[in-house]
Amino acid sequence: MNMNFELGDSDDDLAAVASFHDWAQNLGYKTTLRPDGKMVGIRGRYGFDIHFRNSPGMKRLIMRCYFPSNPDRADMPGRFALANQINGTFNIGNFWFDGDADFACQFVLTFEERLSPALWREYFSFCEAGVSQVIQQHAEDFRPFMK
Amino acid sequence: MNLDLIGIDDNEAATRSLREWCQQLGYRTKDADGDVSFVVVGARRWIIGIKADRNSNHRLVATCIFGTTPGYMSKEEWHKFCNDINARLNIGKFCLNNADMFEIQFSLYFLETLNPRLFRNFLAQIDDSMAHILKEYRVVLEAALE
Repeated sequence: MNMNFELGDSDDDLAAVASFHDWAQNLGYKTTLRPDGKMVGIRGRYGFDIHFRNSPGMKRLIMRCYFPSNPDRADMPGRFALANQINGTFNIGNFWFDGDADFACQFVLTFEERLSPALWREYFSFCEAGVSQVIQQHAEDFRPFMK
Repeated sequence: MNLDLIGIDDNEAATRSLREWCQQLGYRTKDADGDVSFVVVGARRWIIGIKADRNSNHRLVATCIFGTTPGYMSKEEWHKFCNDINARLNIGKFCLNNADMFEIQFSLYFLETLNPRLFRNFLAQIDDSMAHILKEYRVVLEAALE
């Protein structure tokens, strides 16, 4: 039985989100289609939001998770320096502090027309492990900024 | 013509195979300084290496590095600039590295094999992304990069 996630040559990002929601659910993941249909929430060790940027022959699955930090913005330069240090150390994703001072982690999976369950499972585990590694390795650096 | 890395869990061996494969696909490659990676010479000079894994999942990491003009932006300004680009774009990672160089990096994650079409599309996409970034942030980058 073909269990691949098939996007063919479609570049419809919203259709991809809806299909991915059903596909991941069939694989046993806890997923939620956001009300505006632009993202799928997927619950694992962390809560990730997923959206797509597709073009014919090249699809990008973009996964993000956020961690709230102290909203006192006086020390934003310190947070930017920390995000930069993390981006300079790791080559697993990209990291920043957003406009709400939340720490954001982003991972991008590039594939062609189809995504296999094996690749997806490996990738999702890799991203979860990556977030854990960043948080653990920089626990002391985060402490002054986190709630 | 696929790149086959089944059973390879050694970064150096995987990167060597990738380099030979790139050459067979017609890409011009050069040695990179100091480590197992190599340079693909195209619209940009991408420093490419593979992070191999014993579970047969691999990551191709492509990095482009620009020298920066000393004193044009303070470290604090660079950190904010990189933070803001990371927040805005969803195509790669941006940072000021330990040598005070502006570093842009993209990753391609795959299992045992990589096919030429995906690799070519990926390289074309990161070339396009780089052109887009340099155009969009031209005012800042032209002045700040050597």
